Amino acid sequence: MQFNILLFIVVSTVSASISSNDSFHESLNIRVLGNEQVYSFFNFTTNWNFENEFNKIHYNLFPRAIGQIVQKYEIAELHFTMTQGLWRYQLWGFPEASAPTGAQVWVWFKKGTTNIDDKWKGFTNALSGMFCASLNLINHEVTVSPQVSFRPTGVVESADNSLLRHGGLSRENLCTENLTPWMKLLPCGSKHGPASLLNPSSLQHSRYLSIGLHYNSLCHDVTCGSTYVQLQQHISVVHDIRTTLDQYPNFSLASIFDRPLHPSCPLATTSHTHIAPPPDADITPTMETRDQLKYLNLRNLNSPTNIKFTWRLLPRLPTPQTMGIGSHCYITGLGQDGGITCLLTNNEHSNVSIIFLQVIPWYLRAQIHTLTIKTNTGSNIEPTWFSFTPAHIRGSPHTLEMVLSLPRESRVTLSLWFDRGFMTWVTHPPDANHGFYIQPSIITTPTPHGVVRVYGEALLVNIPVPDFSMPYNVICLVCTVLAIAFGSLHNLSTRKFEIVPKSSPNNLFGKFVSVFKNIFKKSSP
Amino acid sequence: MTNLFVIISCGVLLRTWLLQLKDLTKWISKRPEVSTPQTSWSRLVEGFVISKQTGNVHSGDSYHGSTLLSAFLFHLQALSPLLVPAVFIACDVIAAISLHNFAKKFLQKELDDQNSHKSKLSKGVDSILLKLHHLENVPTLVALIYLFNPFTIVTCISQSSVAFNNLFLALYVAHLMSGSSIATTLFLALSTYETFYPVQLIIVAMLCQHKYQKEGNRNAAKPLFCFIFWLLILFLVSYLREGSLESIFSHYKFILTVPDQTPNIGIFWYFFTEIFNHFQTFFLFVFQINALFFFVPLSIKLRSHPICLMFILTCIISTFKSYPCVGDATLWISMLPLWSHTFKYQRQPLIVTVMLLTTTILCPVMWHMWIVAHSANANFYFAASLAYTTSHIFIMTNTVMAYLKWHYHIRKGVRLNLDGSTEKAVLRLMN
Repeated sequence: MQFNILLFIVVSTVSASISSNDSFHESLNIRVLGNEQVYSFFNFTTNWNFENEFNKIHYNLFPRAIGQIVQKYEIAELHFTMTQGLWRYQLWGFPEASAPTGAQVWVWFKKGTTNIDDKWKGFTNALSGMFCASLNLINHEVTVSPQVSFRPTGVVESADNSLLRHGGLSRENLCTENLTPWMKLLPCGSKHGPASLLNPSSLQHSRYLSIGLHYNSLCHDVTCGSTYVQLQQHISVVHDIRTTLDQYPNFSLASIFDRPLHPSCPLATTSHTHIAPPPDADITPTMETRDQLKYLNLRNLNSPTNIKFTWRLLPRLPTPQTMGIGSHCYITGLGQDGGITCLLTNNEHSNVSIIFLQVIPWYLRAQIHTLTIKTNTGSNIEPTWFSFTPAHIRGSPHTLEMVLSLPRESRVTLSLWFDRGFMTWVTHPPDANHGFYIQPSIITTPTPHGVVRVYGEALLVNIPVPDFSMPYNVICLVCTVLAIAFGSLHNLSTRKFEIVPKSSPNNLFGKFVSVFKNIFKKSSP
Repeated sequence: MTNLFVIISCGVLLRTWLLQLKDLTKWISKRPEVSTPQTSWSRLVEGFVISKQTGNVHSGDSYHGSTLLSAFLFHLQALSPLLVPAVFIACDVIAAISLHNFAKKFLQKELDDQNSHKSKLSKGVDSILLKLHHLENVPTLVALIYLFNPFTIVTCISQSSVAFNNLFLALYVAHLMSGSSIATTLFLALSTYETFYPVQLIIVAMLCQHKYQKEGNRNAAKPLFCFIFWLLILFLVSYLREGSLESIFSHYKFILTVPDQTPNIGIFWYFFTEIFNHFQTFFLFVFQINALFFFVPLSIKLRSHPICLMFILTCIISTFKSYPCVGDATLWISMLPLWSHTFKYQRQPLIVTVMLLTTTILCPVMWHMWIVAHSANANFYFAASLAYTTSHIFIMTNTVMAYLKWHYHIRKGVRLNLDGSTEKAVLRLMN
């Protein structure tokens, strides 16, 4: 017995010393949005220094599933988000991490990777299996390689955009079956630390839920002599405070998440909570203030706690935030015509340069010659840089990418017309009358703090559908018409005219007609 | 001549007036019956803008016409935007004049033929013979029908490239009787270069060479070689312009593989929308052979009537091509008066004509109900277009059958009876 204990201690010490080159950090940021919603941002980061190949490494805190996928498909950088709901930039300000509705995957492959399209397909299938999401539907019809919108966020050997693949599925729904494998990637699972709040049923009752997974390589220092890989997992969730009517407007983490906040994960190097205190509220337990934010170190907790928010005064109506950049997109058009109109708002006091990316599927024939960009004063804006890749039938989508300079304190209207195309019977998805999604427009703005992305709305378009019950009937009818033509022309070319006696007809209808004619002949004098 | 001048000036004025009604022009150019993925003006403009981006007007799947047409219209547009509608009106006018000249020459030749074979004609057929008043009235009627046919007018004001195809075919038929192989095959090559199907009409040129030329000058193979020569020149010029072999043949690939299932007035779109993938290639072959094959038996049967052969081949092309539009039908509709002396022998002409008119009106109505009002589905439009196709088939077979019956009757008499008996007899096609 004692020998077993001794062996256990020796083995764990040895393994801990081998794996001392990775670290895990977890944090929770809470912000109250007006008086109706509360925004919680969970961030779990695993940093890992390694010098060897992936397959000679002992995986400790870094999830092995991700490591194997990254190694097999030669991925330098990976970004994956799944979102349910729409982030209301005008009301809620800026999220910590922006994500479009549905699923979005973008990947930078390593320099020198061959057969990138096959690797992309294999990777999306592997990711789809891992997260139980239909990411295998990301095929060549939704994949693009944008030139300037999605530059690498970490260290890569080559930033040639042929190594970049971006795919979006706006139709994907976020369910608990996607959350479960995501939480399994965390070292402590959902037992300790901020992850203990992640109750799937309370998350599904939220206004906005987004999970993300980001993998890249970063430099240790400015000289970038050595790099380390970083895996960031985050969840953004916006809850309605109003759901707990008996306590409204006072709420607590337990009332929105239905679980207490457990002490930190023992494997975490840092674990804390930052709360942006609302002006008229009291927060219990009392926390120290750092940089105007309430700070709570979860490593110092001994038992599960609850953080309560109590209002001293009645809350006022929320004031819409004047976001720096905002975007609102919608569909226009009637009948066969359709159009996409995006209203881009710039509330800053100076001109802002943005990169605008819009991907339109092949079955909506975008008419690029109808693209107009106008300010609210009516003057036209010329893009500084413009690129349009037209679509191929049943192939790659239209990609519109341009660099625009939005004038200060203005609203720019960008509109483009498209024709609704027609798909064959087998190309339609099972629920054809649901409509087809256009991926959200993506506005990328470089700022001193990094790259900021604002996503528009995912748009739903109906295209005319054929009658799905008709294949046999259609074949019969068209072949009948062809047979009429063929029969007449065949008679014409193979037969000669001859004089034959006018014989009495031998079918019933002919006999009836001849009897009818004889009656009239007899009656006329 | 003054008649022709009056008709042409009225036609030009009508088109000019209609072209300045911008809303009407825009609405008509969106009709699927009028503009197809191959001929649409807005797709051409889209191709211009894309070619500025990518350097190739055929990149993407927007423009599916030929290289030289896009180059010609692009430079025209760059010169002045008013020049383009003027060119389309000029196309119509020149085509009408060519058809007028053709009708005159053809009827003159038929009359001469008839007079020289007077001995073979039966007695009492004077009432059905071709007469001088036909020669005076029919050419003007042909030009009138071509210019004032609603199909031609909508093609002109929607700036659909079918107008050019009709122009080249009209010039081709006008030169058929003159014996100048080079001019005939040049226009046929221009038409084939744009849309693939008129390649069948080379057989007509060879037969006309055989029939209408003097003994010493006859060389039936000359049109064929001239045609191939002109086609090679056209492809060489487009290769020099575009620089890529794939893109100069991309419009042929589009015509023959039919990837785009946009509704139109033909039979391809709904069929290929509804079939299973497994049968796609097989039926593609069947439909294309159907459009391309009929010249073989018909040219054997109608070898001594090459103009009739040309008529029926034009009908077959315009009905069974992969992306037809109403503009394809105007050419042969305007040629119908050439056989006005045979109309007596047509079967149910009224029903067939009314069928054509009704389906032409029904198609836009069904389209509106399907696409805009959402109160109908695709089957309604499909049925109307199928009836339209059937009416075309009836008209073309009726006309040719009537012409052949007329030929039989003028040899055997208006009233037919079996030798030696007074029993009433009719003409039937028998083996």
